[in-house]
Parts: sequence; structure tokens; C-alpha cells
Amino acid sequence: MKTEMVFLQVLLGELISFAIFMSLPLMHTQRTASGGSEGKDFQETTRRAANGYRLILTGLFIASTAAIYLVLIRWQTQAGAALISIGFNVAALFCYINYARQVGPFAVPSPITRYAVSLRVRRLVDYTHTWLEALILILTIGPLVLLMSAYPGMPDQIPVHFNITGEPDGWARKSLGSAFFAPALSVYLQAVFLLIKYDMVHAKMILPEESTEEVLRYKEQFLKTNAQLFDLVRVSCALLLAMTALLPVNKSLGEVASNMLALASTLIWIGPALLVGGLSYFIWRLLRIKRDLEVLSPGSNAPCSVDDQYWRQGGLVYKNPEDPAVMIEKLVGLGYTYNMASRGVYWRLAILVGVPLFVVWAFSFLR
Amino acid sequence: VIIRIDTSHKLPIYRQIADEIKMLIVKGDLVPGATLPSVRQLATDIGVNLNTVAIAYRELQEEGLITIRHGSGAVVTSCTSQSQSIQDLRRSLRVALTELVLAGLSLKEIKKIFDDELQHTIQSKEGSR
Repeated sequence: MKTEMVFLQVLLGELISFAIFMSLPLMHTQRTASGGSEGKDFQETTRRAANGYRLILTGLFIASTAAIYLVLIRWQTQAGAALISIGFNVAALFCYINYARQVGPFAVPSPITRYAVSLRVRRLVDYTHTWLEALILILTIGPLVLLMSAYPGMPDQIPVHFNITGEPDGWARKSLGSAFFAPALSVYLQAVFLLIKYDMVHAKMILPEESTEEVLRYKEQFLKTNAQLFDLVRVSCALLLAMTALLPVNKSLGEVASNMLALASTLIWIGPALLVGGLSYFIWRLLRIKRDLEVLSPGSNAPCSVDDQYWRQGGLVYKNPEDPAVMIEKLVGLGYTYNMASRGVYWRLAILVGVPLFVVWAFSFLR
Repeated sequence: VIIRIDTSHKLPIYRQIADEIKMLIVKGDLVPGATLPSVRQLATDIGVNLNTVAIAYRELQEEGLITIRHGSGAVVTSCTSQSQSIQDLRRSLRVALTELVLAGLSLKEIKKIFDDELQHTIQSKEGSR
């Protein structure tokens, strides 16, 4: 029973990556087609390359799923299944890059030298809902405070992993690390999310020379929808980790809180359902905005053709040391991505890796 | 409130930024009290070095049109610039007229261009009030 559940989870992950990889050429060919060359050769080669890519991808998907099924059900090794799943993603990525290389030379970059820029000030506050931030703060700091007060009274063995109905199925010896892992992770993730949202709001926004006002309106809508989508992810993450943090102590919290938590844990599946529903809704809206933008001003939904040559790995990675932008609209896909060559990204990465290392190091003295 | 930039034009980018903002002030799209984005934000959007935008802002501040606030952009403070003397202004007009003459335009054509531009600029200023 348990292995089947794991298999279903892994299968779901595989299906999602498969769908994303299948749709990548769709977005990429649109871009190359609007980049200039629309000759017969271009169409033919692109079509053939895309078909080949999709064929290989489907083969990879079937093979890896079969392998995962064998490894999980026959040999019962979860680590092997995870490795195969990661392998599938890496292989698919390489296939995509190969496909993009085949198509790339046919796209004629049209360097834009005349463009417009909005002087409207974009601030993080304008994309923030007070009640939502308060909720996230309570969900992040609340468990930490509750756990601190409950820690001395906790038993020597504490549950650290829970199955889908909220019953513990993994135990660990009581320590600061095992008890505070979830709330600490929650605080850390929320801080990282906030930094990413700040960057998103200040991402590069470039406008075409014609129909500037309309494009600006759509681009601001695009940014707003992205911020809302991100808020949904932030709330879901805070909620999930708050539950995980409080489940070990629900016995020591007293009758009322314990009952509330029991109720919450039976409703825990509502969270993922809301998340999936919300994500689908926002992605649908983003796709619509992109489509409208493409109709309004072809090629303008690519962030800036000026920087075409700086997009690497088939348009997935942006590397331009000359560009002061830390974040930029994605060339392939929805949303924003970091300029991997900007100096800002280096210290962000340093914090991302440094803070957890420092915390682990500092806690090692407390034991 | 939108500014237009042409990176292939012979005018340097900081000049274009300063000129565009001045035009917006004359048109009344930017009134005293209006906020301008921070140097970093504008440089990110245009895709130029931070210094380029900083030079443009500093020039506008020297002319008394805007005040730069540290870390949070700039504010438009006035609709009238202070630094340029009448001689300087006459000189810029003379340079522009010289260019028109050198381009081989007749006196009538130059007058027409001059009147059109003057009309356009003043109209947008009157219209905003």
C-alpha cells in the first residue's frame, strides 16, 4: 500500500515535468518565428526538430516510468526511484538544449535600438496585501514561539515525519535540530521568498516603441499576477510547515489547541487542493496575458531582443554581465528569472547557502 | 509617464534621459511632487550602467528641476530651470538653427519648422494648466 502511494507521487512529479518539457518548444518556436526568419526551411527544420525532440522525450518518459515502477515495486528502493526521476529530468533538459541548438541558427535576431521605459515607481508595498503578510507572519513565527514554550516538556522520542492522514511514521531523538527543523526552515524559506518577490517587482520592464501604453498595462498585469501566484506559494508553504512544526507537540499544547490541530490535520488535503487549483488559475491567466501581448505587439513578450545573444541553454538561462538587471522576464516560459552574470546574484547565492550552514554550525555548539 | 530611448542615436543615453524627462515636465505629465524611479530601477529598465542614469539625474538636479532622494529615487520639485543664462539658451538655439541651415533648408522651411515646434511645445504647456 505504502509503496504504491510513493509510486503515485513520483509518477505525478514525472508527469508534471513531462508536460513542462513537452510545452517548451511551443514557447521557443514562437519566439524564433517572431524573431524574423519565417522561410520554408525554417518552418520545416523547426517542425522536424520539435517532432524528434518530442519523440525522444516520450521514449525517455516511458522508459523512466517503467524503471521507477520496477525499482519501487519489485526491489522496494526509494532512493533508486528518486535517482531515476532526477535522471529523467536531466536527460530531458539535455534533449531540450540540443533541440534549441538545432533551431537556434535559423532565428534571425532583430536588435531593437528604439524602445520605451515607464517612469512609474514600482515598490514592493504596491504588490503586498497587509492581511496576507500578517497571516504568513503568524504562520511562520507562531509555531516557533509555541515550540519554544513546549520544548522542555516534550518526550525523548519525537515524531518527525507524518503520513497523509497526519499519523506519525518517522521518529527521532529529541534535539534542537529535530524539533526546530520545520519552523526554522519555514522562517528561512519565507525570507528567501520575500527577497525573490522584491527582485520580481524590480525586474527589468522594457516596452516597445509602438502601442507602448497598452503593452505597459499588460506587463504590469503580468507582474501583478506573478506576484499573486508567488503569494499563493508563500502562504501554502507557511501553512504546510506550520502544521509540520506543530504536529509533534499537539499532545503538550492542551485540549483546545490539540483538538484544533487534529481537525486541521484531517483537513490537510484541502491545502494542496487549493494550491493546485490556485496555481492552475494563475497560470491560465498568465498564458492569456502573454497571448494578448503577442497579438498586440508581436515579439514584445520576449523581454528584450537586444539581449538575445545572452540567453543560454536554449533560452532557459540568462547571462549578461553588462546588464544591471538582477531579474528579467523569462524568454521561454512564464514569469521571471535571474541574470546569472549580475553581481547581485552572487551575494544572493552566498546568503542562500551561507545562512543554513551558519545556523547548523552555530547549533552544533549548543548540543 | 513614458520615456523613449534610442540606443543607436548619436546623442548619449544620459542626454536622452534628461531631455525626455524635461519634455515630460514641460508637457505637464510630470508635475512638482511627482516621484521618479530610483537610479537603479531606471538603469535596470533601460539596460544601461547606473552611472548613465545618475549623470542625467544630477544634471536635472543642478538645473533645479528635481531633488534626488537617497535610495528612493527622485522628486520633481519645479517646472522652471534656474541654471542656464539667456546667453546660453540663445547659443543652443543658434546651434540648432545652424544645423537647419547647414542641412540646406530654405528660410521658409526653417520658419515653418520653428513655428510648428514652438506651437507644439507651448500648446502642451498651456493644455496642462
